[in-house]
Amino acid sequence: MMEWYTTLLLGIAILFVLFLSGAPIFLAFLFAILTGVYVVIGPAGYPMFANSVLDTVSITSLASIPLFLLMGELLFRSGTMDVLFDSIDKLVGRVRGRQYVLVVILSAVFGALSGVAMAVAAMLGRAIMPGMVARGYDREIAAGLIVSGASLAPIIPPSLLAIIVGSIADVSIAKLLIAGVLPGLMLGGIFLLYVYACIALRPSRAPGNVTDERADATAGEITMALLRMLPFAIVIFSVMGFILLGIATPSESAATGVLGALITAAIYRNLSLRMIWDSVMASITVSAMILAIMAMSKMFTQLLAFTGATYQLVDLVANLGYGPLTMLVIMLAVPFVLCMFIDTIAVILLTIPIYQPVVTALDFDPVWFWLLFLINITLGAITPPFGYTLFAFKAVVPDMSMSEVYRAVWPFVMLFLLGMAVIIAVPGIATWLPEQVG
Amino acid sequence: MTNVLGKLRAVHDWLTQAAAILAAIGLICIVAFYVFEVVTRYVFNAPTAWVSDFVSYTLAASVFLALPKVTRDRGHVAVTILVDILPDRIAGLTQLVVSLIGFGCLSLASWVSLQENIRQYTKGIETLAIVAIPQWWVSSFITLGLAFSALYMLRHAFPSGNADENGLAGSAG
Repeated sequence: MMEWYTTLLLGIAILFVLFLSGAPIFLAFLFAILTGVYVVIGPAGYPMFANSVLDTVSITSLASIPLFLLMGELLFRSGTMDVLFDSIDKLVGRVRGRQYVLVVILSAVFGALSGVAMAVAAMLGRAIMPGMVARGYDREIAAGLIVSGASLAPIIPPSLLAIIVGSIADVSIAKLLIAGVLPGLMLGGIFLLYVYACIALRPSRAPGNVTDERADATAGEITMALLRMLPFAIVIFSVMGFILLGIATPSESAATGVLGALITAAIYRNLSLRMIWDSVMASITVSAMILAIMAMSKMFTQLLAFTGATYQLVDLVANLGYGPLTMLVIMLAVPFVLCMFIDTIAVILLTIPIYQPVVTALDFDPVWFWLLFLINITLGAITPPFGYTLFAFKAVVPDMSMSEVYRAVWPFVMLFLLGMAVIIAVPGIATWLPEQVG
Repeated sequence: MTNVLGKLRAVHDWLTQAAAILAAIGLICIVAFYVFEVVTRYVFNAPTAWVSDFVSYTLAASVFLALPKVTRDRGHVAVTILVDILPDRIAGLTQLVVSLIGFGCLSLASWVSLQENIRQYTKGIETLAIVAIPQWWVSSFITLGLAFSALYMLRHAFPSGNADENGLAGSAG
């Protein structure tokens, strides 16, 4: 029998080598599991694998993953996001640096409706970036703001990553979703404060003549913009409203959110059977990909527990003698670094099983810790050199070099860290709202 | 021989597409089940006993019905940063090795799953649920999804020359 740390390191090493060789993540896990079961238990352990896969993909709360994906697909494919875009553009007044404000608001709203940072970064990069540069906005601030604003998507509910983290870490998904509201808004506020500080220090970073950008919207235009946004209230209410009022569980609210998205698309007269079918097909294939990885990683977790590695690691960590703050920093630093190099979902699936018992042993508030974890891995996805969201953005802004994108995003990485420090110092920002729900 | 293989490939593709359509219908059913549950529970105060179980069965079936399509389209998330910067020959070799490992792992996994299906069938094992059904009704979709995906891995390793199998059909994550 191998020592527990040899088993753990060997398992992680196998996964890393396969990840870096370009193997699909679910296959990397599958290889590690099949090898691990054979070495640790022997062929007699294989039926455990089959049952573990079935157990994982039968968890009803995971149905929210395809449902939220479907809701986002319906909103994007029906073109209803364009309506939202135009309306918010009308509502943002003639303030200096108005496009910066527009980016933050749009990324928060689109993030809430899609939950996927890469999609929002690509969309805003394509839709807003060229116009901003043409109007004399600072390229680097604009790029950094779009990428970091898009990264609010996994934090502001409904968020796919929050559901995945909640499911694996065994934390209330509803609480974890709601916990993201205030931190998400706070981070948006911090970004805006930074941008205005930059403009104050160097006014050339935003066009001086505000009237050149856009004529004042008339009262009628503002009313019309508000009215056109009203149908989106149906989507938001049918998801967050239903959860907060206790009418529906997160999975049920995802289904009512789909219904809300269909109603919204119908109100805008963008509903078609073709569009619905394409959305359903896209959602189920992406979900299959995500859930296949989750099914494999669950067995990996069970295997770690079976070898005693999980217990021994928790014992080791608990006896390190560091204070909770140092432990927290170490525990957040590891996935942050990993996310710079490997996929976010892979990091989640690799670290949560190891962290979950440690979080309990250290007596951290689970909602607070896992929200910090969520922000942290989101941050990893925009941190150079390999943050995935950076590549999604770069793909739609070909005239910007990768080094420019890196330079643009660093200040916002620091702002994210500042925001996390605030949440660590004032846990209530994350825990107050979920506590109100009960 | 080539003709027979071509026909087998066509049948494999057709079944994969049919499975993906069933998976999509499954997702529509999940939406319908949940909306029905919310309405009956909060409007008519008559919660159902079956929705949760049916959602879990449908979800499991849909995931593994859609899996072969994801594998065919190379839609799985993979970290391709290192592979992208490798010379073409080495990258091609790496991809071949990965595809063969994938074929081996998925074949073994589907074989293990099939043995479990047979055991569940012969012993008459049912799901632990309010609305219990024979477990193999659900778990056999796992076998199917893994087996079909294994075949696509083999086809990726030895492409026939058409665009789909050379990775031009879909994009990796």
